[in-house]
Amino acid sequence: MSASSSGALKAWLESQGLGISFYRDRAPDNQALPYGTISEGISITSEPAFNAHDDPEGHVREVVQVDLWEQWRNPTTGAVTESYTLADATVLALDGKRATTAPTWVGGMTVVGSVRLVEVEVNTIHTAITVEIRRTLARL
Amino acid sequence: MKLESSAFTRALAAELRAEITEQEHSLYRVAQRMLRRAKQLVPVDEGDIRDGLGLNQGRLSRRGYFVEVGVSSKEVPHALPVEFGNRGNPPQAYMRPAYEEAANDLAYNPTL
Repeated sequence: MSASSSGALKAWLESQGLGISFYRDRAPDNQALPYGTISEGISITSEPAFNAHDDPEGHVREVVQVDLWEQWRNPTTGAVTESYTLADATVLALDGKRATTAPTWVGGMTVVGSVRLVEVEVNTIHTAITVEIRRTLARL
Repeated sequence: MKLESSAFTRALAAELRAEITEQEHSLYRVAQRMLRRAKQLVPVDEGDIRDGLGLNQGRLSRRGYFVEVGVSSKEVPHALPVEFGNRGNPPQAYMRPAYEEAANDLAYNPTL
């Protein structure tokens, strides 16, 4: 059982054979590329499918961002080193799935968008994947 | 027997136009709320992202009526890295939370 949404996502993604490690919020200093980070709680809103005044379990929609960080080009040869399949494989591993080790009940995850950003100055490809998690609120 | 259907058709069309206009107004009001919320949430350094946030007048397309809320990434190039983060800076999302709240506004009260 993971202690947080991002912990559950980390455990889930690292079990999907993507070949990279995922970290909560930020990677350790000097972590070599490629790797992933997970930012949870981008927003948490109540789930309109449930009655706002009679929902003791507290069904919510949490927006989480999964980031992939990859080297863009080999600095010596200039050859492209970005994986053309990693982003798709990550989306496929998330969309429609349930994070089974989440601390609360998770109805499902939906990928609502993915943006590819080229950070030329730091020779990095940043793919930001926005995921909506339908879950219940945690108890103390 | 001859049925007079043209009056009924005209009345139905008028009802539908009124309903569509009301829905358009609702969407525009929700978009205004979303814009206000995004301006509240956006981190302010020089204030150019906040000042660049805006919405257009609603437009009708083949896919329906829509209103755009956002900021031009050509005019404010760092709007996107602030929303999604970059290497060394975590995301400071302002559009997505505002959108989620606006979506809930519409879901809970479609006739805002």
